[in-house]
Amino acid sequence: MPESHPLVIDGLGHTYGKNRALEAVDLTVSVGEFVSLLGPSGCGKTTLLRSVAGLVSPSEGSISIDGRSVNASGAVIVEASERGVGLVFQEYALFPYMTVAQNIGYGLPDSNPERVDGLMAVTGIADFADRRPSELSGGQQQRVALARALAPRPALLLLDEPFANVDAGLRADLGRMLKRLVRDEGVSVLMVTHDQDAALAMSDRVVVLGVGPRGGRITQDASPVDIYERPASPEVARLGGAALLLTAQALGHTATSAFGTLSLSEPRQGDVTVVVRPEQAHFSAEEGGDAVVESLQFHRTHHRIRCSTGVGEVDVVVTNDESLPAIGDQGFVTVRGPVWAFPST
Amino acid sequence: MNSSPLKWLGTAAIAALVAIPILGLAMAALDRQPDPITGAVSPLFQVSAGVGELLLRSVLLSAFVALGSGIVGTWLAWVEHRTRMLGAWAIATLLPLAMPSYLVAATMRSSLSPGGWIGDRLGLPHMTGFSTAVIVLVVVTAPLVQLIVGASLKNASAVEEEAALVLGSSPIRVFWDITWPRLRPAIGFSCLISLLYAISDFGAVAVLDVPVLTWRLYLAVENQDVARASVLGAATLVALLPMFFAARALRGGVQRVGVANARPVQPYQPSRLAVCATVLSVFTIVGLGVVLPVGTLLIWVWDGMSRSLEFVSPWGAITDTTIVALGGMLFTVGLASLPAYAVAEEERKGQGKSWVEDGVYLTSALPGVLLALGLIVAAVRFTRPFGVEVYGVVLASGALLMVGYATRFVAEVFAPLRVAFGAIDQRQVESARVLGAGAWKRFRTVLLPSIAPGVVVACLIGFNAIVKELPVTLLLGGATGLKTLSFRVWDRYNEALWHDAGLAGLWLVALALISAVLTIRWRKNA
Repeated sequence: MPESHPLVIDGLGHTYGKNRALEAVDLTVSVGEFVSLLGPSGCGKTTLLRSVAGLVSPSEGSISIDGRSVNASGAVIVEASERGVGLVFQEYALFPYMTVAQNIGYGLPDSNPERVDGLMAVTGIADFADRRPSELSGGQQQRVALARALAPRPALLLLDEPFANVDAGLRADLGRMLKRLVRDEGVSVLMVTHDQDAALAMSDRVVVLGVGPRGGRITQDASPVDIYERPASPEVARLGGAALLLTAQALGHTATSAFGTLSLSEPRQGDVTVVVRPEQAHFSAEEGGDAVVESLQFHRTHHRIRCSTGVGEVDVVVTNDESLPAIGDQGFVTVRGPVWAFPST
Repeated sequence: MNSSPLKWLGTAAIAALVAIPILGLAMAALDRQPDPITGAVSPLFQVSAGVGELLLRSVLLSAFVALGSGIVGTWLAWVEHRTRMLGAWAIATLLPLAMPSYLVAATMRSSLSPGGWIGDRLGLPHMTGFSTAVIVLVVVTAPLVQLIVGASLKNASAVEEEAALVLGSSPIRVFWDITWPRLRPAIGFSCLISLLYAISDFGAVAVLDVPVLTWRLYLAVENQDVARASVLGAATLVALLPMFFAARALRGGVQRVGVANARPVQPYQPSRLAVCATVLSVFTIVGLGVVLPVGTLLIWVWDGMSRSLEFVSPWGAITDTTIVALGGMLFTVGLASLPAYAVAEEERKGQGKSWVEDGVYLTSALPGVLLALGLIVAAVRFTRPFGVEVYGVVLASGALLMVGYATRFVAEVFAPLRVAFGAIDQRQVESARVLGAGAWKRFRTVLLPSIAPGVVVACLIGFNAIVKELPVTLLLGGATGLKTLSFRVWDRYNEALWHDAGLAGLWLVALALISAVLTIRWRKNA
């Protein structure tokens, strides 16, 4: 029953002046589910999030939060202040004149110091209760923003680019804390991000919003594994991470390409585009080969080399136990294991 | 560029501007001359009679004006930036900034009193005295509050207000919890600016015959009663200084956290009461501050033409005004550039509030009558060893007038100059240097494009202020032989030659409006 879902969006559309920001978006978030809305800048993902929060009044469609209709046919039924959702802004939006404890307790209808103390303890900011936001680091401010959003125990938590202003070193820690917190609080999450690593690592489900002709529309709604391994389009394939897209001729479970015969993860027929991920490509050095190593990067657990080939540039993962080629080395690029293919458009 | 010598030069220039008039006042107070006939020196209690009452009335007038302009200006600022009600009217509500207070007072007194073109029809009482002065000064200072509070509202990121909304707050609670604390310094500062404006105002209180310090000070100076003038001047300073230090404490006290976000706030739907309050505010400000003065001036001119009265050609006054305003503008901007650059450099280095900046604001807080008196006395005393004719030459040369304008308006041109100098990106300068550009090329290609809009805004603000200025022009400009438009309006109004006063007033308004509109346009680039 859709009423039992923390969030149900049906046919949502929105226009800013002459720009179409959202087009017929249908989306459901189930109880306890962590859903990421992934897309490049300008695809409408923040508009969607703000529509759910009640900060944008969408032109068309309906939104239900926790079984209650809050928007219908472009009209606001429930104001932002009455929706009962938690929202963590990209900029944190902490109240500068209040202390950390006052910020966290702001949305609580009655003064509830136990709840505030509890959240400060689990987010690791108990020592900063009496400080002002300006006295905190970026990571600490983000923890305050998260605790403040969770304090009123919302059924749905909205996160707007939560890692955009956090150092790379802190992201993993904050991500783990966020996952643990939302699980313990039993809250469902809709996170907006353009960071594919964060979306794939944290989410139960990833919804991709398209750009260009597909702007403002959902182009794929799937698990992180499917987004990466079985993308619905070349755009989603690129959004999911580094990929070489090759045209090929498919015949059942195999396809003929510039890299020879490839094994397909699902049977296809005729003209297809195959997606080769860096970890599926292999470089073997050999004088006179058609691939040349152009650059080389160290990534702790592996190296990534970029080779120019007859069909374009391809990224290749070289594990630390493999022999590492040098820049300028010649050789051949081969593809290991089954690859994903979709019909060429 | 090494800022240290510039800083010292700037500090010296500002110190001189503050010190000369105050020193002059002090000398006048300490060195009271004996009566030329009796040879007796007036006792202090005699020259200070009634000063307490004048002081109280001045403070009360300023307090009422600050309260009124604070309420009206803050309301208009909120309506402008948080609703869609004002639209193009937002510009109209700022137009009274271009109107001299004496012109608003004179036209309001003439048109709304019995015998006036509106007063007769509505049966209004005589529009003079304390309450009318409060209305006039609220009308001309409310746009200042609207501008300052509006800038604070405009620059404020919407996300904190949105965060409070999403956490379940009503719009009223959002205003009190989030918007009000952020606006409080801007409201307090702008109210104090209105307070300083009102206590320094001379034109409106003179036209409306309100016995306050500045008006009585002018009369004492005009009657060459230096002893009385020095006591009144000291009382004015006593009233001013606490306000000045309060304004200093409030200036720029806005705290920000997080990342700036340019996303505008979703406009509020106004209630019927809010619409009524807005219509009333706009009607009052635009009606009394623009429509009524311009309409009355036109009627004065029309009346003169219909009665075939002879008009004095305005061209001489227009030329004199332009010469005086351009000269004063260049002198003031040149003088203010030194401390502005020094303060911008200090800010870049993360140093705290500067006394140079405080000196700038203190200088401009002095009422025009007071500083003119101080300059006259100082000039008389300093030139005495060289013979009395030297003072006459100094006064006639216009040098004292230029110093008077610079002292009066250094703060107004200082603000955009400081922003302009602060906007210089040292990385761009260094990039040009590394790329081989010499000092002149760096100045021409990097520095000048960066500071030019701010310098132009400063020039326009200076020009506008000098065109409208009255007491300094009257007291220091008379001996120069230059008869400016403000001088002409004052002179003809007091002679009851309305048609001439109307024509000069219309030209004055035109010049002030043109420079104000250009300021608004250039400010967008600054």
